[in-house]
Amino acid sequence: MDTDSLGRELAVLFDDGAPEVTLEELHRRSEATLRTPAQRRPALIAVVAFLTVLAVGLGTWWMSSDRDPTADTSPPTTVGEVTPTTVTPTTASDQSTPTSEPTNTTLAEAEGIVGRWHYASGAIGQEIGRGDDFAFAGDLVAALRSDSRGVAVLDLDSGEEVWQADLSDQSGTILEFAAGSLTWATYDQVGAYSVDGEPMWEHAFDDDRWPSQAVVRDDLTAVALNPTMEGDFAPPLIVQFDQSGNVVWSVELADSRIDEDLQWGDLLVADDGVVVQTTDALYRLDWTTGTQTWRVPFAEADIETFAEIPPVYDDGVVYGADPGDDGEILGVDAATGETRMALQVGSDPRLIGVVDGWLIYTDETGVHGINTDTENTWAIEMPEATAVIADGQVIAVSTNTLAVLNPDGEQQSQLPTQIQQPQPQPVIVGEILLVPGWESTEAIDTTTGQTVTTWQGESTSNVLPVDERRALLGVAGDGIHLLEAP
Amino acid sequence: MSEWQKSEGRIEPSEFEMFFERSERPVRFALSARFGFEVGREATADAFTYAWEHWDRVAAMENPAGYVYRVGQRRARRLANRFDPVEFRRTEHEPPMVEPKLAPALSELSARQRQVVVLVHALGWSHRETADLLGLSTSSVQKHVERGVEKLRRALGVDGGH
Repeated sequence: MDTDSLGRELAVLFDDGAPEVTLEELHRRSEATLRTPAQRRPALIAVVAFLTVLAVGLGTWWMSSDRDPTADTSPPTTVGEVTPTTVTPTTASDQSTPTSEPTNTTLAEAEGIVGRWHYASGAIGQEIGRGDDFAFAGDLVAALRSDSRGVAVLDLDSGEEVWQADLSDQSGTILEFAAGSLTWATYDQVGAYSVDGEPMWEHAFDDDRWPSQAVVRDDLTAVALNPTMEGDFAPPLIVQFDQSGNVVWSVELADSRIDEDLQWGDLLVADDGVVVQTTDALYRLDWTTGTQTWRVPFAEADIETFAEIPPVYDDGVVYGADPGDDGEILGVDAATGETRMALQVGSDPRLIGVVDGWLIYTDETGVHGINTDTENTWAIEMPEATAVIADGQVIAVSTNTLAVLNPDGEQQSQLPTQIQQPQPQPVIVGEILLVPGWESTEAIDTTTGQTVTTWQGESTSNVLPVDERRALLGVAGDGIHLLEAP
Repeated sequence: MSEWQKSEGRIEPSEFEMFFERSERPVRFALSARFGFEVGREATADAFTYAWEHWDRVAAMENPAGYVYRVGQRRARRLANRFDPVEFRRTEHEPPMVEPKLAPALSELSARQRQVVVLVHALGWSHRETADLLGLSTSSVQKHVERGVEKLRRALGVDGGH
């Protein structure tokens, strides 16, 4: 195929796949959108929520029928029902070699990992803003309900519902669940419940801001809001609230570009400051006053590419990675803003963490380490790998390969696996590596490379570590599972 | 008089229509390449609707198409599920047919590579025009085009040729 025919075929593909927008269509849309965003949003959300509930319901019904021929045809599991985990995952019957077609069994039979409970929240993947579908704090788990207009708080050990509450009449998300409160947000509201389920405060924004991250410390909550969404660009906004919902300070990021956007991930409190990463730079604001104390820009920021991994803080230094085809890693002294490290790296760098003085990251080509003192580097070729630090080692996984590395890059073991296109972030539970993928989450025995269990996840799943032997798994359209190494 | 022209002088239809005719396809292609067909088209429609409603301001901009693209991009981020892979499934229309491996091969490119390959090769845009729309340098466009086309050729199992 020469470039001319490539161009012709691309044009056909795109014109056919996304037909042209007409002036008449704009006119119809404009009449529908001449109302303010706040006026039209509930209607839109109502439609989306209805379709979501319908889809989740049908999905749950379909999956239960499909996976168990003996399943009855009663309505889908009700929201909030806790059941013993029988998710019908797959377990490898042949322990000697990896297999791509494990046999169906119950989760309890899987080698090295058991399911303690399952909560049918069904809401995983119904992302609003950039918050979480579920989170845990102490001995409690917070989960969005399947309609995403409320949260349920569960006992971590039993999965039993402790309390539930409505968020608002809009779809919401969990921003933070820590330090005695559950901070939630909708497109233009943010608020908090106490861990006992008592409403603490609520704040509505006048314009179409987008609360996307929060951090709680000393009874104060800092919330990061993205610029307005409808084209009237403004810098990202950071607002700190007290326990009554009063605004302590509100700061637009100074020197930011108008099209700058906040990154995924949580806000970071480091050295009495709140650190924010945008598409363009790292910022630090004083926790008490909100004053911007430093801003360090990335050299060639690609403002359209988001880092899905938040900055990393270690030993007084904040590390941030600028994703995109020309990746960069910055290390900034949290107190002074002095640049300690500025390295051009490969495409799409993702920070994993710091272990024994080595900053570990992955990129398109593999797994890398940078010595934080000497800036010596190492690299292991594992295309599109993802990794986790556990027990002082780096456990990396890429398509068909699992490797255990020392922090200095020395390879301890390499095993063949059946894993395909692993996604961030894997989690270790005992000897089992839980690896999210596009359509399923795999449980891999790190000593054999064997897939011991698979959860089909309708393209979305999240894994959240609880401790060394427990993790929460969220499966789209299904709910949350507490998994434990026996 | 059309309803467009009755809208209390909010727009100059002919000027907006010329802009729309000139810019709709590249913006739609760029957003679709980045976010997939469904989200890309929806975001394009939203972005041009916004441009029409604020035409006085948008028309005065140095790079209105680039601005509309960024509005669409912001809208698309809100519509897209960040966990979903971007796929390019055609509708069921037959013919014309395209090379069956093209859509999956395109999914394997980075978002930026997809955008520049589509704008440069499907629309015949120059590196300068592509850079202006996407807010990139021309050298970046050149690099992404080269990498993207090379990846496509490898995926499609064909040699280069002009």
